[in-house]
Amino acid sequence: MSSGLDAALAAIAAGRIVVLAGDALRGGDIDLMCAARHVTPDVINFMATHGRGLICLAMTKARADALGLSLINPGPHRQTGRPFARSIEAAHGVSTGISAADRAHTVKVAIADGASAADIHSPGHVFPLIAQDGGVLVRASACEASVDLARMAGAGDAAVICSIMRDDGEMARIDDVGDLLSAHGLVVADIRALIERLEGAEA
Amino acid sequence: MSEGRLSRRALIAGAGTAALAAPVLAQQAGRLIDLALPGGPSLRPTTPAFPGKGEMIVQRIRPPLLETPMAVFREGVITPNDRHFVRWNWDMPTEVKAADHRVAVGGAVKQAVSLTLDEIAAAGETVSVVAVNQCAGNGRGLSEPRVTGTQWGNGAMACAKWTGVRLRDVLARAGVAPGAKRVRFAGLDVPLTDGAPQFIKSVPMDIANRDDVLVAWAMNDEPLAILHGFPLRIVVPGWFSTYWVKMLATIEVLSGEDDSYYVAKSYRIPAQPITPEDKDFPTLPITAMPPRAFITSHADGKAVALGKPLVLEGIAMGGDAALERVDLVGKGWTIPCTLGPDEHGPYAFRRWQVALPPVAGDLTDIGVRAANVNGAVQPEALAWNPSGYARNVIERITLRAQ
Repeated sequence: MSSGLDAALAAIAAGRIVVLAGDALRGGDIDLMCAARHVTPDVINFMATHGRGLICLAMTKARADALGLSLINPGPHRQTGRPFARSIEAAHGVSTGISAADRAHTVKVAIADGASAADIHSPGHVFPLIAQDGGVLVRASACEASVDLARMAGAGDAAVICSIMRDDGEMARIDDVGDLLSAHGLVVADIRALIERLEGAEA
Repeated sequence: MSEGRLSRRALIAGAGTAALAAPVLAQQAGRLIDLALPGGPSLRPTTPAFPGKGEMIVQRIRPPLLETPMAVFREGVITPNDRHFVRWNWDMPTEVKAADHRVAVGGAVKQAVSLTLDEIAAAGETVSVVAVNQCAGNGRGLSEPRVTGTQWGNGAMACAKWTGVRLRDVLARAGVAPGAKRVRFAGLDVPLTDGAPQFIKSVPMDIANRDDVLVAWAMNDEPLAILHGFPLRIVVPGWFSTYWVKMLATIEVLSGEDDSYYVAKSYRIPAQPITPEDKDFPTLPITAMPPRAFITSHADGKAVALGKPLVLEGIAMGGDAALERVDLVGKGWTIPCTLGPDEHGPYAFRRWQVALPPVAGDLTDIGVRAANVNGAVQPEALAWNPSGYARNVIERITLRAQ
């Protein structure tokens, strides 16, 4: 199991897209993931083409605070349980905000050192997710896992994730993406393996 | 099929499997077919490009999920091998060398053994059984409300004659230890990623010991194709095909319960009827098939001639027991159908037909209802479950008189 995780960390460090599997909270949905600092228009375009889910920016609570972002629905009964903040757009340097280049620019602006609420507008076309402090050991989901993995790979503390939808419109499961993995040389990071490694490190 | 010398089949294994590469298939896509799934998207590509297959509906290329077009069921009861549906949980090898293949029999046995194909064939009497092979999720795409998973129409089913030896004769080669509870099977298919569960399934001992549960090497008198599990697969007549493990490589006798993923966590149905709002309900493994019937002569929405008599026909099965009767049902009326010959035993399809008097108007929401000799009957309402398993609701269509 650990060989998959190490290969994924190397890929993330090198700025490549990986697949996240084993999210305990989303019924088996799987995601494409890239460290936010390595996101380019090509990365967004790939996610929009092969992922086809919502393109989200997973970030720490500290960064969310700096950007003036908080949970849209902070109560205990959030409908989906996903920790969304309000959608965002870069305040400058985008046209309609939806193109691959525009979304990559919004990500870059949001994760820049010293970025603040003045740098972004809402609503926009990038969907922030606020990760729990304590990461994947506290919430075993792709949002926390992507931030943890980015950190472990030395690639910052934010990530872009996008769930994968099949051609028939249903959300993909890991057994659906064999062709995607081999066509693009994608590595899979399993969230359960990540949890095991982090628990082992803590022991 | 001559008994005993299975290893000569090596030359057939792997033939043409280079065509399983996705780019090749993309170039050979056929027409689009409409599965009529409520709410869609219900168009699927068809392709004849898989090795050994005719036109099939593509639900997924890799690992393959190929659905049988319903038109295949219009005639006969035996599904031709090249139109038999295909469903793999994980990637399977595209080449298997029969002479090198071994089946390991171990676990709670007196003497673990590793058997060649010839030793398997020599383990006991060669037996054939005609049985419907049906995916647990057959018809899932028709669920309302919608459920996740492969959005099959009703074509994830097929009927074939399976030939092999009895599983219990293969088990006898190792000798089952006292207190053995279950028999578990594994094939050569391998999960795509680290950490994903291997596809392994087990059956209770009493099922394993049945006269008609086979380690099979042939379907319709031809060796199993690669896509159907060459060189060997398990056949459990009357049970959903999740147990019919393909490319059989390991038989493990268990002295306790099976907590592996595809038994304990997956392929499970609610123990009692539930609604879509219910959560955390008790479940049971899906096992025996219930009765089902299909009108094959007329599709939903077809026009029929006003004032002319009408003959409807189709197929039906009793599930895990012989079919007893098929009735055409409408709003407040029932007409018994005539069953075709009972030529293939209790686990096969049988044809049925019914002659109706001259058509006086639209035939709205009519369907066929099968019952088996154990008293199981198709229900009026779908037994909805969030996995879309075990669909056997009466399938309703409307025919327009003109």
